[in-house]
Amino acid sequence: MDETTLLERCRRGDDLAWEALVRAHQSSVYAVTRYYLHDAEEARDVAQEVFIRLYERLDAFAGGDTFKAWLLRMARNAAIDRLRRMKARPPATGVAFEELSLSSDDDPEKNAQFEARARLLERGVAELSEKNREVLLLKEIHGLKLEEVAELLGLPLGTVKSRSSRARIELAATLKRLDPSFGTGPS
Amino acid sequence: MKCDNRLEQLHALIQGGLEPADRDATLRHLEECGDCRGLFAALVDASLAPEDGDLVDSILARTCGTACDRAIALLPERLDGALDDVDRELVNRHLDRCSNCREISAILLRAQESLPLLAEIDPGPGFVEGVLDRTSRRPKREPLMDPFVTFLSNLVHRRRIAWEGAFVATLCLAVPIAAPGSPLAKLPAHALGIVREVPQQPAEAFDLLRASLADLESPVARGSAAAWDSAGTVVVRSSSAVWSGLSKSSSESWSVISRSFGTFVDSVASGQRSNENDPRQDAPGQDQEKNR
Repeated sequence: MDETTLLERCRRGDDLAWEALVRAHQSSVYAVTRYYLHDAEEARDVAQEVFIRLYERLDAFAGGDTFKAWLLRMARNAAIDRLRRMKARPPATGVAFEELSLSSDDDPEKNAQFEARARLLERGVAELSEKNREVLLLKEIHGLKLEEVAELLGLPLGTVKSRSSRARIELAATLKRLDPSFGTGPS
Repeated sequence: MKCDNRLEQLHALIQGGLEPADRDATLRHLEECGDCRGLFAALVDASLAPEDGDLVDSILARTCGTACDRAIALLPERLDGALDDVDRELVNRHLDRCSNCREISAILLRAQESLPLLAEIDPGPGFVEGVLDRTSRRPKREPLMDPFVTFLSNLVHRRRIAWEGAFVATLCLAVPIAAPGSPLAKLPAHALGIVREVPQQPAEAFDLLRASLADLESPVARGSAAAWDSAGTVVVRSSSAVWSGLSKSSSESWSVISRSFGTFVDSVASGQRSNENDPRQDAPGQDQEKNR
């Protein structure tokens, strides 16, 4: 079922459609709030607030950009608002490795490689500068387009483009330093 | 073939870029010209020899420096397919010769494929249920006006609503007029007076209206006298013929009504008096009183 149909059903009060929408996006919303808020409980609470706000404002999505970009913008704004209220600084590092539950393959060896690669990536991302890390999070990790990232961050398109390139190069250099064989291993 | 152009022709011959006719002509020339044969051999040896990387590096070091920084800066766009043809060709040529940049390119590609792994983090058990408990499973609140609208709808569809509505309307009309000290107490008398004493001419009616409004202390009557006079002139002129007909018929009708009503009242009154004098209607107590 495409997202437009799902949204339309939710607007009409279809509880099943709403549950499907929440399940489809819970992980990505939590990943964004978890990125900004170092505390897992705070991030979970904010992520739930995002969905509650979404439920009350389903009609507010006008369709100008993708639903995912709109939802992630809500998540980011909510997390930053919570940070301001907590008067805390953004985390210097990202999510703790053990909290990542990513793999879904039945093969233990593949799972191990999968987890190792993810941990390495997480370490590399954590070493990026804050500005580059945020652009990388939104564009490379969550797959938003350059235009969507620019609008979300309130930056010119050229700035986002150059930050994205610098972030990727910086990440590659860090990964090479941490594990020179990263680029040559099995995919 | 002139030997002045031999360098380009020989180079093209090695690269295989000559048309068949030109190639044949060049080969025939090589058979005849020893200088060109020597040059051709040198060019062939040079194309087959491995590149002198040290020479290239030393030249670059003394000129613009290594091109790795430039190549690496273009690698993300190369991966995205966003480079123009020239830049892409130049970067590819550099990658063919630079292992360090090749390694960076491979890491970039691997990272690009792997970063989406971090896009989703499981928030843990109970997250979805928590959201649903606070959204779709929450008892839905009715909009504020809904109970009121429901009440009105039920009220209007009751069987006796017409009677009840008339009763309420009558109270609303009667109470303001009949209440002690009400400023509208004189209104019925004024209305009756106007109807019973219907003027024969519109001018009289207009003056009567103006006087009634003044009597009721209406602000309209206190308006400009000139405005009233001019309005009165217009009304009189336009309605005198109609008015006289209406006033005549109105007077006649009122006479009929008053006669009929008076007859009815009299008949009711006489009926009551005859009942009072009928012995069959006496109460037991009254019999005993009469018989004393």
